[in-house]
Amino acid sequence: MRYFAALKEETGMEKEELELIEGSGMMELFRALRKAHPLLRDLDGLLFAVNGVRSSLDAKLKEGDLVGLIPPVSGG
Amino acid sequence: MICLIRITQEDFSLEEVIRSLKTSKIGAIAAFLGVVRGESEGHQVQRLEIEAYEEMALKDLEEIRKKAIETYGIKDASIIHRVGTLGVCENIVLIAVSAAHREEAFEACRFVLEELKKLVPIWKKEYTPEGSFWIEGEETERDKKIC
Repeated sequence: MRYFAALKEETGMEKEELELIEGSGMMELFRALRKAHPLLRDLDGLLFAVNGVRSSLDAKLKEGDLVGLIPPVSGG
Repeated sequence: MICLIRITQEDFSLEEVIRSLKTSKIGAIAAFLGVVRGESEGHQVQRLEIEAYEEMALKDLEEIRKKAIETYGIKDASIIHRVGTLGVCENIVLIAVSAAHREEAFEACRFVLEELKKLVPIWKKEYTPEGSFWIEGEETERDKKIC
């Protein structure tokens, strides 16, 4: 996992490795994240990127995927 | 030839970017330069911290550049965004678009800026005398705390 901006503060970290059961998708991942990080906000407004590509909430994960959790952006 | 799509801690030279966009086929260059403002919604801003998911942001910026070229028929576009700690008045972002005529240059320049603000994984954190706040979309953490 990689966390950015305010999410780094909510999780207290920039990166971590997680183990999920085979066949897990984004919702299982997010449930595990909320359990591990009680200060992490709700999913509303967040995006997942898998290996640098935006991913839908029903996508499945495979071993070694790098998942970024992306809060609403504010560049420019 | 300089790199036209960049995410960098270093400041950039507007002159250098404009020089690299000039060719005999263009008649206009439109540029937008975003700088650090010293206040935000009535609060003093002392500095900004800017963070990017760099690998993804670079891919996004390249996509936006291609889309601007295809959609508006411009010749080229440069998009440079800074990261790190920036003081008031420092440069944040430069978008420069070269085209045959001014209309497509202006329109494409605005398109690139709006797409960047909407999509690209870059975040600003404001440092103010009241504390520091991440900005998300149009909101800051400060707004959420006040609400």
